[in-house]
Amino acid sequence: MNPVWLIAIPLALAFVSAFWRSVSGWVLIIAAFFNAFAGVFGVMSLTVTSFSIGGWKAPYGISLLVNDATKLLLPVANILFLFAVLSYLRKGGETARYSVVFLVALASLNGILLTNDLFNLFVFLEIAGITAYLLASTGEGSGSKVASFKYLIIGSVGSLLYLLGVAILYGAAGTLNISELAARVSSGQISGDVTLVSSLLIVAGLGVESKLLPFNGWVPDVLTKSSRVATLVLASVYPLAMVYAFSKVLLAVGDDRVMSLVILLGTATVLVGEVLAFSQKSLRRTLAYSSIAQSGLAIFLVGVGSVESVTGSIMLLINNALSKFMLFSIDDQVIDEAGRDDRDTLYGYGRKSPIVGVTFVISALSIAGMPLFFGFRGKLNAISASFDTSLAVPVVILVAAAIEVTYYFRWIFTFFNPVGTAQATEKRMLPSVEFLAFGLVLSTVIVFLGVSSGEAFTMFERAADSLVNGVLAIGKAILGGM
Amino acid sequence: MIQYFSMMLVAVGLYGLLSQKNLVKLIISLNIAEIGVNLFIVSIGYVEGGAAPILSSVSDNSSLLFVDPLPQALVLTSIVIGVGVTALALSLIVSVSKSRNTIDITELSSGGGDSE
Amino acid sequence: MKRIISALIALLFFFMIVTALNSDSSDSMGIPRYGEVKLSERVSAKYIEKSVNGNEDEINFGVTVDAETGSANMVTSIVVNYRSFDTLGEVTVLFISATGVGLLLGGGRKRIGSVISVSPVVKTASRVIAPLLMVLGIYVFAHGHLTPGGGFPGGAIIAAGFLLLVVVDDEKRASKGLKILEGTMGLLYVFIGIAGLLISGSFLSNFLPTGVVGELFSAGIIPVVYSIIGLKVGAELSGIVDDFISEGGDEV
Repeated sequence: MNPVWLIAIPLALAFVSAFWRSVSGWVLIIAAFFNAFAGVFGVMSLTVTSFSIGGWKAPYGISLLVNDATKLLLPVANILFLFAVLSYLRKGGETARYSVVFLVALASLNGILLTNDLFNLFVFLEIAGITAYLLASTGEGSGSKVASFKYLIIGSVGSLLYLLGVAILYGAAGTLNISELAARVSSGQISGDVTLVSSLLIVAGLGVESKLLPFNGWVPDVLTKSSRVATLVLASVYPLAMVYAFSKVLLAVGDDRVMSLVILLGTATVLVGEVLAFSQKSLRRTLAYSSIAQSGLAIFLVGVGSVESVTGSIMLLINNALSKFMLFSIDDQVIDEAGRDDRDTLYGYGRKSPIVGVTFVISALSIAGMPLFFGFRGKLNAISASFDTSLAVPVVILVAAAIEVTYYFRWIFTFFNPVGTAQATEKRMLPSVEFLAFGLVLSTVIVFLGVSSGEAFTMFERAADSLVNGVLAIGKAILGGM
Repeated sequence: MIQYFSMMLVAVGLYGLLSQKNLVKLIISLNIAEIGVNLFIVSIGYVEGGAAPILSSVSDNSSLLFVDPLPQALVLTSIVIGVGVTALALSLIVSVSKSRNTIDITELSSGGGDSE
Repeated sequence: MKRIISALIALLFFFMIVTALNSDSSDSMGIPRYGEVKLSERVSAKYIEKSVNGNEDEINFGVTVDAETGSANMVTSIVVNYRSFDTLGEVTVLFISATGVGLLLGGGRKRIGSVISVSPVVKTASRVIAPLLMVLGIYVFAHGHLTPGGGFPGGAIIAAGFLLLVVVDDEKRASKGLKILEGTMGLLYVFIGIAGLLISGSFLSNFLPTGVVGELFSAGIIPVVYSIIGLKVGAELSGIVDDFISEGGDEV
């Protein structure tokens, strides 16, 4: 199956629902189901190959690349999107009104994961960015609109800098295809000044969306103020695509000096994110800062650049997507029932609603990196990869991990604290059906991946290898054939 | 020369984005920076003595010297994207100003409630 | 204080970029001096010669038949044929921005009155000029493969005609048909892409014959696509204008 269908179908359905408003909710569900199925069955059966758009061979045309990494990430992204859309099916409301935005977001996220062309990536980043600004503005009151505006300004500056970096790279190298550029850069054909400046600009550009310090001023407000479904998608699927785009481009055309800078920025992001998350009183803000820290960790691993560390990065990304989805859903449940999500409200919540409590434990421990859960493998990779760099870096990462474990345990104890107030006398509350279903599926996946033996992890290693080495190999083939 | 001027435009735009407080001025600074970047991209493609990349009765053969057409195609896309983002930003400003009666970013960020 | 820091950062940025310019040297590829581009090193060489698929013949205006894209305007051949996926993305950007403006602002029934009073001379003249503007817009996008311009400037000119009508007339609103036009045109573009996928095996391939370079009816699907884009952009920008002048919608 040509992976273009993953992009073309949501886009076509988005155009339809622009003028046929009444069917837009159904159309969104159809598109999400199609993408989830196509993402799993259509993509898994393909061999490593690139699909050219318009029939023009790369690098003269745009090509879509399906390698082991995309074969892993595409199904995850599409299925999570489907879950997010289905979660709020019954509550309707703004999901139906914004269904056009969700459809275009789905198309653009798939485009970011698939494309192998720098300028095409820019266009899809812009589409994803604009849908993100719109999704961020869905909260109640004007606070979400101010947060969305700030996000828009920072995001537009970022994509401007990225475009400048791409232009400089084109001026020197004469091509826009990522694989061919990887081959040219690694063989030293491009002058050092050009790779340095363009890599810096690209890091600035892609770093905005990837929540890298110092570009992540937009994250807390946006993730705390937007509405339910929007937050789910923004916090779980978007980071997957954005950090993957960051890895894809920088592993191909990045300058070595800039990679060291990326290591530094990533580590700083982790530390700042965890420290700020520690002192938050509201669960949602904690999760927002925790997202910053997770992205920082994944990007730090990309900066190190070896196959082992990129394996860890991919595992962290997927773990973050699954767990954050659960955590933000739990937070929504709580706000639904009790109206707020600060520590007092959550006292003993886990005892009243044990399913919610258990899923919280599983997702929180997975993000914190406890053994038996998926996050442990990624964290292990991160720490062992950090020993390859200077000595200060592992210390910082370990400190940050310690802080993370502490505050997640604090929240878990809050959930199961028997010293409840008047709320302890109420009957047991059952969460919604969708929550039960998705909670079951995602928790099972997290635990399964955590306890399974090494063979399951070769697929992550192959994914990382295709990112680090595979793109380069394709580029050399293109150069050889020209 | 023109490449330096376009970079100066981007620098002016960045200065505006970092120092201005009025929301509309922020959008204007963003537009100035975008113009600078677009100008730079077109200048990457200039070939001395080349003709405009259109086959016509004047330059009727494809083996004559033409200017690089690819940066022009990139700029076409970039300008339109800039228009889209500007329209969205302006509508956000209208929406915010209706409910908060101010368009100063420091006043908006420091909290306060909706005045409607 | 804030201004001084901002100015310093901006200057730092300027100097950083300047180091990358003029960096072309003999042992590595850098940015060439202004005007001294060697086109043979870039992909554009094959776009100009229309020889991506290996056909190295010369293209002559008004003479060559069945060239690769068939479009006399090389920028158009890149935008609509070689890199058509980018244009689909661009169309989507405009679409989602217009939808976003509509979601945030639109839906109102009343219209914001204008503070300028317009004399009858201006009103009458505008009613003559606006249709001329729209015809100019249609000319620009219909000849996108022969003259500079294409779908996007053509659509913008059409929207400018609409804007003129809105400014001089206090009662003018856009009709409902604009949204339908916009949606169907977008759908048509994706369908052309899917048709290319089903006919020739790749999305958005040019499956119509390309005719003689330089004629109006040439270049395969390029004039069709540009007409679609021109109408879509015109409808979209007019819709944005309409949303900005409406009032009383369901804002949050």
